[in-house]
Amino acid sequence: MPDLLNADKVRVRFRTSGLVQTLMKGLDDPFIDAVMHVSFSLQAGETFGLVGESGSGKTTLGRAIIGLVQAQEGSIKFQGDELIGLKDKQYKEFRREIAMMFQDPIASLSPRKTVRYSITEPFRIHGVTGKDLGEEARRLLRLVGLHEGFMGAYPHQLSGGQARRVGVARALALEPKVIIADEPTAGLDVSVQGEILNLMNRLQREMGLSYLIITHNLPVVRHVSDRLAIMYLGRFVETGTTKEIFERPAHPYTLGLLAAVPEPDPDKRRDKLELEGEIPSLMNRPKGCEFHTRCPFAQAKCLAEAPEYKEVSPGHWASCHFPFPDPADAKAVGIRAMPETGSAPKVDDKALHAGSRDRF
Amino acid sequence: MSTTDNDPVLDIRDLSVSFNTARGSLCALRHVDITVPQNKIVGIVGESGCGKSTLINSVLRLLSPNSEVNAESEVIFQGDDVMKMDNASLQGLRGQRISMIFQDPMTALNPVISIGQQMVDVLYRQDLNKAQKRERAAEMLSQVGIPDPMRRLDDYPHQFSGGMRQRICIAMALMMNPALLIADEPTTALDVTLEAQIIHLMKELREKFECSMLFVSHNLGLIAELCDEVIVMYAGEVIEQGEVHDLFHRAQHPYTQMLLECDPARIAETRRDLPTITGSVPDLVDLPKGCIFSPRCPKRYAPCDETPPGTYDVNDVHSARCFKVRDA
Repeated sequence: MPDLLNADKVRVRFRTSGLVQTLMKGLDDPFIDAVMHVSFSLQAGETFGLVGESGSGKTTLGRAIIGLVQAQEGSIKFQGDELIGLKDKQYKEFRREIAMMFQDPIASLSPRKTVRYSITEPFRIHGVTGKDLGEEARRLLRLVGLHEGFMGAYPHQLSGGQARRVGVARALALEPKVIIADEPTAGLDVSVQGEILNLMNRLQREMGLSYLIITHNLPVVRHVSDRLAIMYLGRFVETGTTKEIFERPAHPYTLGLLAAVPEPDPDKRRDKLELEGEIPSLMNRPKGCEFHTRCPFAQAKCLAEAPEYKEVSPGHWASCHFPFPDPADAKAVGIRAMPETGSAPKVDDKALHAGSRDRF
Repeated sequence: MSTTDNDPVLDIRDLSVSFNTARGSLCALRHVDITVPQNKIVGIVGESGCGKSTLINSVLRLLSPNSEVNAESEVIFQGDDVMKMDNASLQGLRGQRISMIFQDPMTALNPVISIGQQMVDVLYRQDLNKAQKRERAAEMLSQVGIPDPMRRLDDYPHQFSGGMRQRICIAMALMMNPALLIADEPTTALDVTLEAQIIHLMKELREKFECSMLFVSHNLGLIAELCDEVIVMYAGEVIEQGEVHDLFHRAQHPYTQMLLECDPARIAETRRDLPTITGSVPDLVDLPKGCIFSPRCPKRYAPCDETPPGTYDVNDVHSARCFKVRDA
């Protein structure tokens, strides 16, 4: 059986300067690579998390799958059908099967349309006839736990959590197989965040949905996703099962991300900073390993040679010359898995990479 | 001013603020008592609609015209009651003695004025010439970790990344050496790695500038990381406050306990079904008769629905507004 969704070496490029400017400035390449040769697959009923900082290309990848931006290379297959290169009209068919929840729940609803209109719009766009739209709107609202009174409400009358539910309802209207959720919990309070995630989880169980969750919230993704990909500068730097990545992160960037999440316990304060600097510009990608500018373990080899994306353990891939073999090593340099589990960190010096460790 | 070293920088006593709305009087803050001691960071935790913004705006007297502050309310800042200040004194207060870091560094800076000019503008009352002011601005930028500050003064906000912009906002807030710095969700718009960097910076600067801080956030992790004292607000009331370790390890109010349980970062075992707080925040126009949290409280008993609880001490450094503490 083919994968429900399969992406193979997807590359998305954006033009940065026009033809004339390119010639005048003598640029060899007026493009930036927002997504670089990314491959993954999504099975039915599975949740896949895409994690990275802003500018890592995670949203662009999501948008490329649904055809909102054009991927230039590679292939994206949905149930075996190629999506890249389709005309808008042909794409429309697939957008019934792949729905998207956009980042800002209130901004993604038209301010002049009622909730009833917004959530039944997919039926109009796709020309679904023979349905009582009022009845459908009520059904969808019930599904996401909102009462009928919201039918006539406008987006400004909704709270963040309610607007998010409306977003879920709209995504579900045409009974898709895949939902791409871009930052589904951004801007929500912790208690409401749990409600939205539980709702998504319930719908997944009842309807057999697959989710692609795009987020930078690691504590959330740890609970909801089956597999994870960590993105940096448009590339996957690490993929694997969520459990594996949280327990045995292999890439220093993943370690840095995990360490950056503050623990809600005043006894576990960090006095040192793990990841310094900011994500480099896509126009000026670092040579060698692209993470070396921020990597506390970078060595001569990292500056010269790009690491291969290789399997460090079954199903767990990372692109690092010196992947961490064991979580104990991570702990020894002051980085903890999250939240702290197991025994006290044991310091094992020989397994560590020598060099700039003292920056930690 | 008649302040001594031990007086708190900010002392809010019995602050009640309501807004006149078409539906009636909306009680946004009710009997709030908050103290910010010198050189301490006080964190305020609460969900949307708990009155955090109203509280900050009351301290700076920036409330909207339809607001009404209860006559009993006092906001004592360094010995002066902000509620009784005239406009001239308020001007001297805002930005100089109290300054603020806003949530979104993208909109807090003026996009068409160079950051150097914006920083120099903050010093308009200072008796310095232009070159000296620029130098002071550059010095502040280097304090917050912006490389090559003298050259970057002529850059515009769009030439900086989000994290850098928040650093600039922090530099601007500290330029007048304020006695109190209010940070309103300063890292919400940033990535986790930048968030960690900004928090790290705030810790460093706190040692250097010796100012007190009121840190507003809904991120419990950040509060635990940075603050000395914590105030938990719910629907316009302070429902629990205490020293940070005491509060995180021995939370007494059911709301605080549930808030801590809800945080996915605190749940050690992975689980699909996350805990939530059922129900929603009460309507502040039509308040419940008893405890404000009782409609959602799993531990409520007889007195909770009858009368609002007072504030009861758990120990010297910790108190909560819950009958269970009184009856314990």
